[in-house]
Amino acid sequence: MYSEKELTDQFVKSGSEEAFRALYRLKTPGLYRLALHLCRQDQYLAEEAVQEMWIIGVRKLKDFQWRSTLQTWLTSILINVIRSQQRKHPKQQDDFEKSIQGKENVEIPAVFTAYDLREGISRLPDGYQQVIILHDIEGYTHKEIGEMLNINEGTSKSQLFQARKAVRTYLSEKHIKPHQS
Amino acid sequence: MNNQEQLTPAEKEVFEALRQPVQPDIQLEDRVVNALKEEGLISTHSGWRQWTLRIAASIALLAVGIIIGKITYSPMETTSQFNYMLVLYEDSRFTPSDPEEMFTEYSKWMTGIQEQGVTIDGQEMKPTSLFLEPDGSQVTTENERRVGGYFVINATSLDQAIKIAKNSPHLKYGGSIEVKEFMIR
Repeated sequence: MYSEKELTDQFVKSGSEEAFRALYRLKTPGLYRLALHLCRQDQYLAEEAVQEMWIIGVRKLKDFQWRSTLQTWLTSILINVIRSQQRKHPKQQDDFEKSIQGKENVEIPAVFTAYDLREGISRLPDGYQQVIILHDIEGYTHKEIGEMLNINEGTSKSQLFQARKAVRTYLSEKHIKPHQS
Repeated sequence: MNNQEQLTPAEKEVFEALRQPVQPDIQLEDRVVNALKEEGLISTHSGWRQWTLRIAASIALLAVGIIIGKITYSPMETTSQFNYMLVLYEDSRFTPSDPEEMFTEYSKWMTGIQEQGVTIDGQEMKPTSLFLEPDGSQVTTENERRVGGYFVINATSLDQAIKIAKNSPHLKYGGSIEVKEFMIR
């Protein structure tokens, strides 16, 4: 099993299809998951974004300096691709702040499913959605998120707080029943 | 969920379920590869499995005959002319380059060998092998590590044979070489 560095070096050195496929198979499942979340589970948009990410990534790979992991570097490219997609069709944010005002003590169901959570996240405005996905699903720090999204750490923290509140409000207002297993 | 600033353990558990890798449509890989080819970002040669390497190797080995001309002989006639064999192995690390580039490199390498007064001959091999078991049964294999070809040389010493092997383009492309000395009785 080769490391991502070894596979990357092999591909940069050879430029071969075989070396690229090995790199693709190592990195794509995690990045495709992220793309699906950011594209609100739209498979077509997620695949388009991943394809565009690889084209940009391969074009720049020779200059990649390994100051971050390859995963983080590709994630940054993927996010920029998706943000570019979203700028063409932005999700309305007009009533977002208003919708979560005064919702400090909502009654939350004790148990809910991943599907419910995904649904709640997909309803968030783009920026809030990106922050909660990158922090709570992908595990990036606010500093890393700030660099990826070109926002400061304070904004990332604030948007995460608001995003969580909005998701909790959604779950509450939808009266989701506790999951019976 | 609640309105605490931190996620509760129960919330973390549900987020964990969203953290699992997702396999995309199997056709996406081919679409990405084709897009990269159209952009000229990856080689249209698909590695050691494809014909390009065989063409490159054939050209390179043909060059042996062209370059060293009359000092090459058919194997039947020249068995005693050689004393070392360089067995060329290939595995997943082997990544051939552009055929023209390989041709130039092999030509240069062989010319250098000739200038040392060393005779060289060689042959490329097909990837598959046919093994005969002790009972005479035949097994066709396609191993991860296989013999891609060989060169025979008449080096003056094992050190010279090793030096010739180390300078071979085959190593540069990720192949490995076994240096075998002939048993001459």
